[in-house]
Amino acid sequence: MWIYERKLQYPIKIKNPDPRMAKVIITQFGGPDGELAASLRYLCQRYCMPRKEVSGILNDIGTEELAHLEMVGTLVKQLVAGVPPEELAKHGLGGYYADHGYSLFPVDGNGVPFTAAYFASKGDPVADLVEDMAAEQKARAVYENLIDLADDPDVIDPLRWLREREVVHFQRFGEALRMITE
Amino acid sequence: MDKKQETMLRDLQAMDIFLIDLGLYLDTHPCDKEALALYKKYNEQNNKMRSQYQELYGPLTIRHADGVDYWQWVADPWPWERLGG
Ligand SMILES: [Fe+2]
Repeated sequence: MWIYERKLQYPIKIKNPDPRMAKVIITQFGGPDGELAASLRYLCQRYCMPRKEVSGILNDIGTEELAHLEMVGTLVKQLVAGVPPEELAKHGLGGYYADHGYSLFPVDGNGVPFTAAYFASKGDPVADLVEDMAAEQKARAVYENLIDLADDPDVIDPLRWLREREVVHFQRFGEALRMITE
Repeated sequence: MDKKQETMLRDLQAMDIFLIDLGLYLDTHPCDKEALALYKKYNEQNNKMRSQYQELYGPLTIRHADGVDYWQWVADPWPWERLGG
């Protein structure tokens, strides 16, 4: 089970709304390499691992990804706070606003809704862990692209922090894979 | 959020990520005695910091929530509503 902790995992403090960045950052909420896909991937895979340690790392990283999902949602929310609909439309968020208003919905940067087809759960520990390592690298690459697109240090700082976490997760999944194959 | 709360929350977040990171490390290195001792030491410190924060700024989890006239859990802004998380 889970118990909600009433704080973000890392502080987010956006002083200047920026719908242009909201539109691209939302891909880490509901896109192919986003935090929702990451969390579901690990939390699904954990049921079928040959070692308790490996189920443990999937459980704990899957849980941390939920905290990242909350951070990305907060980034998007604060980036559009107080921005009028016509301004959202100018930055490509008109369609999003029509369907979801100011609410969060898992989509990628082009508004394509989330699908479970973004991740795999094969019941084969090597296949799953290799997928997880690739997933962490892809998420890192997306954060780097988002940092390239950003100019506000208040946005760049949490994106850098999230990027760093993907590097740590990649390392741990590598160790988990070695535990299984050695 | 006032300055003091923000500072305390930041310290808590920093301690928290240290422990999360160490916990992940221990998942794949469960026999590392040095890491085990570190986890114990900093987890104790973390518990103290959490109690201090909760006394001043309300519950971090619903297990610590109460109230006489009003349910404290919903009294304050949610993390996504306040600047600084
Ligand atoms: Fe990750």
